[in-house]
Amino acid sequence: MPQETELAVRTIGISKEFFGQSVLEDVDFDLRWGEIHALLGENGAGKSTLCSILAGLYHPTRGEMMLAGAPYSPHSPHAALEAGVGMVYQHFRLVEQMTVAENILLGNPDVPVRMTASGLADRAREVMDRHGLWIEPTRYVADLAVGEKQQAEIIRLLNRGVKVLILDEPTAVLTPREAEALFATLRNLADQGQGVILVTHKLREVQQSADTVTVLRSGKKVAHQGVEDTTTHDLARLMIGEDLAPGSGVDASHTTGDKLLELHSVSVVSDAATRPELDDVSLTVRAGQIVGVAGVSGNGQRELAEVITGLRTTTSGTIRLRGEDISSQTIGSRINKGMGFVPEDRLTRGLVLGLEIEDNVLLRSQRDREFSIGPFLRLSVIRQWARRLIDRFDIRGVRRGLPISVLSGGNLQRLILARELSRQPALLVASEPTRGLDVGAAEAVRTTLKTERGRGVGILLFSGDLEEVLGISDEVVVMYEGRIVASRPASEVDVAQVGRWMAGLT
Amino acid sequence: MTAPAVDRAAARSGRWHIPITVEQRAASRFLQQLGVNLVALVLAFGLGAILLLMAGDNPFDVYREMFDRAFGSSRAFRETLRSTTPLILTGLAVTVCFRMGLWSIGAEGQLIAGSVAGAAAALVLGPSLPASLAVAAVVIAAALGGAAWATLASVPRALFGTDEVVTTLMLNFVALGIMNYLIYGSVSYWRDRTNLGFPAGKVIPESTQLDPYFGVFDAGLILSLALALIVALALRRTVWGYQLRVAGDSRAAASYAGISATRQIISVFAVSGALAGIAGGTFVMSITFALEPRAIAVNLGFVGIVVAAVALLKPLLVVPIAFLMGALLSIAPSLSIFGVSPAVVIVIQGIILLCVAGAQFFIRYRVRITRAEVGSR
Repeated sequence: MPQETELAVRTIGISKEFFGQSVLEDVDFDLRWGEIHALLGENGAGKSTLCSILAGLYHPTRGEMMLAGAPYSPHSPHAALEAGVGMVYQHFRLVEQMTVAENILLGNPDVPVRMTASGLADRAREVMDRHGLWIEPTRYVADLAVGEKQQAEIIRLLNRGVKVLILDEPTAVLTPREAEALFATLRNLADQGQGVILVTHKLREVQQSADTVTVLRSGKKVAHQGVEDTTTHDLARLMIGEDLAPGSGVDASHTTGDKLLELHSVSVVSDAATRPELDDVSLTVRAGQIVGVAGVSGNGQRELAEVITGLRTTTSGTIRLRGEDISSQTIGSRINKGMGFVPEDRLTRGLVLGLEIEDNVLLRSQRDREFSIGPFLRLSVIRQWARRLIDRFDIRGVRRGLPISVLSGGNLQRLILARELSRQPALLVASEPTRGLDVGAAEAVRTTLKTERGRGVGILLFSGDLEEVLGISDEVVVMYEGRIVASRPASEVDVAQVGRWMAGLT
Repeated sequence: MTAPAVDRAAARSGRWHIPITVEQRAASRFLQQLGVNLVALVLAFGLGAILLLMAGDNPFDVYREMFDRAFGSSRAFRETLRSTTPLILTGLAVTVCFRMGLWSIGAEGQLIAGSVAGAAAALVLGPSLPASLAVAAVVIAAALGGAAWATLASVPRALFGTDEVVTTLMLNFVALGIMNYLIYGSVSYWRDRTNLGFPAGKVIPESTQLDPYFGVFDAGLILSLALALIVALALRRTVWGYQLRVAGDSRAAASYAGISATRQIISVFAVSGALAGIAGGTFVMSITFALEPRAIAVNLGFVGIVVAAVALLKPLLVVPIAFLMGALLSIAPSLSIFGVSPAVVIVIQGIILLCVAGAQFFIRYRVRITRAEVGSR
């Protein structure tokens, strides 16, 4: 069949079950050579599972696959790689302590056992030239920016003869400029005849970079069409299954209350030789107010969140919660005084992945009278509490007796939010609460935050998503190089203005 | 658009394909666990039999002899249980630390410190107190001694991040040196000054010597079983145990939850040291009846690491593993006399442990053989 060879990958009726639960149902998927094919869907829609099956990490429960017209059933990622299918994971498979050249050629059977550093670099250059990509091969991976690491990963796969390149949420870790560069790279590869699968839940990326889009919803394929024939609105509807509520701006109906959190001239200096992490930061959060912190990541937002919640100590300045100086109080006593915290590192800090759901809903409340009597935990109360949160926040995939690491990313994020909000905090510090969530889930989180504000909770929101900050905050502060460079009511600023502040312009 | 060439042979078969998948089991049933362990033991004895045949021994004779010497008579069974008691306790001591990711290998030194403190309490308080109080005093002293010894390592660890592997290991030798000095190098309170021959420890008063019930097991074993249960409950059902489990899984999450690393490290080490110390105290009360360095420093603390590891750091699993280990330890010397090479005995012990350790993997994970072809239409 002539048309078969035009297809790089074809899956026919692929289904996958985990523990008897179906995560993919009868999915047909076609990838042509030379196209960028976006795989769009909400968290838990089955995008990652489908890609993992293509990349040989999982085996489908049912269904078959073709690669370049031939039957294809990789038994391992290694077998998939040999066959020409390679995946760029969100966590790169690179050895940080080795150079770019060493990483690119690592595990390559053609490289002789003995080879000089310059010989390796030459080989790596050759590979990069062939694909029109460039990263200085003698640099160490640990010194690379995230975008460069990703490029190195792509080059590494290309060097192994990969013809079908799968990228799992590649822009999640990138700055907008790095994302642009990535899309240019992918376009270039597609023009060379590669098949590219781009897993994403960002509609804008699909419009911006893909030729074709397949939409998955709850494990089923709901659409497959050319990107030109569709609109962002259509895609959103396909992905979520219903019409999106129109974006709601600031509602002026609520009133703000007393001062809840006050920072006065807070500085953090860990190394006198470099610029301070935080430099003379003052801000106020009132009850019933959302203060949004905007800024390019790495300009002190993380430090600010940590210093308020007690993970980091101040060098100078005072932090007051309801008028009381808490600058030198422990994390535990700040929790008791009603401080909720959704941390940025949700997998390493916000949750204990190796423990079960009960242990995770208990985190930060283990000393609470409700859950413990003296030194003893009230296990049945905790179990009921966990069950209630699972129901109320629609956390899916929980299995009794198994650690929560079996849950999907979106469900894990919901679990943290459920826990922190259910504690009815007076102040909530939320770092990137919607990062990695799909459109529907992110909107739900924003609605929840607004509801909490309505109940008088003061919220300090850190977000890299400028539209989010402007969309739900009452007050916007902009951070640049550890300082607050602007602080305005959200109604008085626009995106362009804030963007200039974020870049250090005035 | 031209299709890049794809190696079709490679697409069909990976070179390194092993047709099995491994999945974590949601929960395993008791009978299943028992079955897997029994299969492991049968396998171990089968492998051991091959080895014995190669060494020119009759496996059936050797196994019958091994069994007799571990369980065959009440005397033999008592020996097995006597070795079991300290192994349960050192196994628990190691379990508590390892569960929090504190790699203490200091149970040996803490056991010695517990023996020294326990023997002192027995010698000082034994004559004046009723038996039950005297025994309790020895246990408490031994626990405090072990905990104090562990604290020497935990405080630098908690305050300055000093590597606990190095400090606990070195403190083992310091404790051994002190014990040797007390008996062999000085005329200390612990040394029997009436004995003019080879230096020996002063025998503890009879009120602190544990008599076996029914000639088989003594109060030390009951205490160790109770402590296994308490440790299991503490890990599962107390705030302390919860904080330990959180810190063991993720230090970042622990600090986020307001758990003080300093306090948690020091308390976990103290509990671990106390358990190892009690092992020393009961060892003195039920086996040596004196501070007897050569009888006490027999690596029970180090074997505790093996017990804890094979028991997958589960306190209740420590008990049967310690029992198996105790049986293996108690038959080793007598089997060599029976004419089997000591090396062969050690290898058989190793095979049994290896098979039991391996069996725990199959209890936690399901291994399935996968079909080579996936789906067909």
